[in-house]
Amino acid sequence: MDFFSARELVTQTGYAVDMWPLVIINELVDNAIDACEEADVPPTITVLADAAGITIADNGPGLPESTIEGILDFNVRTSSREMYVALDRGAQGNAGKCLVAMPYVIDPEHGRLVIVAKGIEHAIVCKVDAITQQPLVDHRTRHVTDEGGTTVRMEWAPSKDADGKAIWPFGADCFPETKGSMLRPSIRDLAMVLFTGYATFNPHLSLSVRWFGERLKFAATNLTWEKWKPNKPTSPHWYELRHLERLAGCYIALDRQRDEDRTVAAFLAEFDGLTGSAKRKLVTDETGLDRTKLSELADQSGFKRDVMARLLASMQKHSRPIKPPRLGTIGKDHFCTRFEQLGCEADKLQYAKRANIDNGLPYVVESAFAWYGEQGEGRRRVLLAGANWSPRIANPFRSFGSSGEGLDTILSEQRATADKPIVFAIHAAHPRIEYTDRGKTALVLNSEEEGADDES
Amino acid sequence: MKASDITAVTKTVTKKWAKQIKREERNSRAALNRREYLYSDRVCQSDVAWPAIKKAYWKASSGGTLPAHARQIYYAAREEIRAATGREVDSKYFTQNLLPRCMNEHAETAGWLVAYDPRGNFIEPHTAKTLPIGTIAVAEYLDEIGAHESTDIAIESVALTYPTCGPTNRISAVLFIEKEGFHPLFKAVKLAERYDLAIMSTKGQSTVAARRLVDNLCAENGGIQLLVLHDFDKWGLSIAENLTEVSWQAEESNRVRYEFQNKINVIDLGLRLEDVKKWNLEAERVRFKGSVQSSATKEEREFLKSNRRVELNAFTSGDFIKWIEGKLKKHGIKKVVPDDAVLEQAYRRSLQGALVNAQIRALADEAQQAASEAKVPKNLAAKIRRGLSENSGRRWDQVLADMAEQWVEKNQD
Repeated sequence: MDFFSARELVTQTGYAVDMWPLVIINELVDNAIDACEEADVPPTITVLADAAGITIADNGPGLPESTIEGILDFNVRTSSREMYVALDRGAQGNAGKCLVAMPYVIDPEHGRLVIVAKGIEHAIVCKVDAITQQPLVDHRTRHVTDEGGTTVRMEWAPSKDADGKAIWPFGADCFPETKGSMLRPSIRDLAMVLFTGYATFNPHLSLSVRWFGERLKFAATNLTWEKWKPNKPTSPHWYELRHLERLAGCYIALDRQRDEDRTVAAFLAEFDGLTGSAKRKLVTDETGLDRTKLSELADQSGFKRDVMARLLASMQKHSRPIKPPRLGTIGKDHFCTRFEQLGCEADKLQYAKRANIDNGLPYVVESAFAWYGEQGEGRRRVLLAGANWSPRIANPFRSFGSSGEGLDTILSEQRATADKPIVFAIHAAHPRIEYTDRGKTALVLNSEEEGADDES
Repeated sequence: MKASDITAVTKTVTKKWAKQIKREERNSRAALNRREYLYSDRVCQSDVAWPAIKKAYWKASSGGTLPAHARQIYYAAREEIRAATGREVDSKYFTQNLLPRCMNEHAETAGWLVAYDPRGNFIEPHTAKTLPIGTIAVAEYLDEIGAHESTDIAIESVALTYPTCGPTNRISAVLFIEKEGFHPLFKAVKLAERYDLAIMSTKGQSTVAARRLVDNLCAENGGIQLLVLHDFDKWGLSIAENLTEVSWQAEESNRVRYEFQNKINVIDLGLRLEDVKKWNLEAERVRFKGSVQSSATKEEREFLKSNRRVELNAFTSGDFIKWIEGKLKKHGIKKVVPDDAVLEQAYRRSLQGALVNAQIRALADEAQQAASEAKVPKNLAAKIRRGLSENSGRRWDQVLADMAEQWVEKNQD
């Protein structure tokens, strides 16, 4: 029952109900782009918002049925993907379950989730058994024409106010097509910033949005853009002991379900730098784990920590650390194109990049800034902030540690406040993005001072 | 991820804006100049460097006929760059940044021979041949290796040892050391000879020439092993990597001066914290700045960040050799013994040489007798001077040798 009331979903998502349209967009677009990248397809995403729902369609390989079944199994709390220390956009393991439960919470009578993939339409209606308080999942399928990709639609009953304007069921103030003010941006305004963020942080993305009557379109600027893909093997150097234990635990649980028991060597093959058998043998010989089953690394009281620590140390010793540029950079040219589309004088854009390694973890931070010019007087600041190529609903760089200082403080010192006619973007690529909250509104940052490689 | 990096990029991109808005806050008329202030007309040195460098290389290399030193090109280009930008170009920035970047960006520079100062030496075992690690010297050495063939024994040559050139059948591995001062010690203990090691060094970080040499000799596929010895400090930890692959920082800023053709067969034997503890080596104080190579363990990182480093010099000579030999044995570095086919050829060749030598010795006695009885030409010095005046590039003993040859031809019958 962690998902079937507004209060519980607010806790799970980290956002109040009126912000949920943005949560839906953020999660579904993240997953859509990740799926396309995993299939080596430049993503083409279409978003449609109307009175009765939000639809996100992609050109990926199509969501497998097993994934849909996994999302609908409320006995399993998180997905295995969350266990990896990887550069994917999503990685909130229970996001799928939140999206399945959300239609029921916002519209118990008519709410439903419709997924079309691989020629099958899945109509999913979740309710709660009033007696047992257990989720009741009504999952109906029918064959439809396979048009490729995946389409996900969150549906509710359409309704209008006295003036005939569409109202969404996310709270009284949530008029989807209304433009807001500087002090109180509307959902529409925030969604437009979110879409712009996706287009700004993803040079390979073609994005088309229909927001009631309004259209927004971004063409990809680089279809062959290279970055660290979500399904690429992860580096042992990105793991601490607790992460490795979590991942190993996940595999052991999965093997039990399948009546399998993989070896440590097979587990090692999952990691960057250890996919070759010679390297794996070096690790298993060094740790004495040749032909050992992964499950033997744990007993009833948990993992054998000394063995796991030796294993991790050996994995790190025999694999090369990943250098920051391999994560991928967005680049000044792409920022210029996007900022120009926003009406800035992009040829005068200011751009800076810092590539660094902190505690063995590589990362790249990029930032761009431009003024709208004299013509833009009266416009207000657009702030695009994101991590791992996903824009965040709220600025995730809001706090830098114990000092309480954050990005807003610095922007304020730099006179780049919300009332100024400017566009400011900041993006960080990092294999172990950690947030202090479920809403991903505050990144965990290291306030310790050290040098880096700067390019501006 | 460091908060300081978020702060740094934010301040960098908003710097001009912040300055201008603060001016406007002090003086509202300043708003009229916002455009001029934000978008200055300052000319970037990199924007005007290429035409200047092109001309400068032509001048410094005498129309492309001779190699030109990077600093010679700098002197030839700096005036034009100063005229275009109004600012003096820094020599280090020019030679290490502007020049390599322009050469990477313009294909027509492919045939340019730009020299940088030699830094360090490469010493062959047995021949004791010392190669300065400089652009030209390395190019010539590699050409020599490429052109070498094992030819039949010449009658004049009575050496019974097997002739080699370069690593084939001779060198077990290249031992790279980041310091120069250990060569007398290595010589005293015959380290190179006892393990058939080529010893190589550079002063500090590796040069383009050092990388080229390593690339050609120590390729993973068919080359010999490269062993790297270094201090335990932040620079030392990155030496093996910098010597064997292009750094991502250079790639990012397009400063790559040498592209590796091969994956390098490298073993990092450098000093690590566990060696420091085991050999009870003393650390020295050094101000730590920047970041540590990610291959360092957490404990090593903490050690280095506490403003300490340990140099190879901290070893006593005896311990240093013991330590190195321990590492060499651990990695199976042994004296070279060629394969059976080469050994058979070498044996037959030596036998042939020994037989020839026996006859040469007999002939030599006769020749010595004949030579002692022969008359020395009159005015020998004048004849040699005449020979030298006909060809001043020759040496006196070459002219003398010609005269001896002529005498033999004349008196043979």
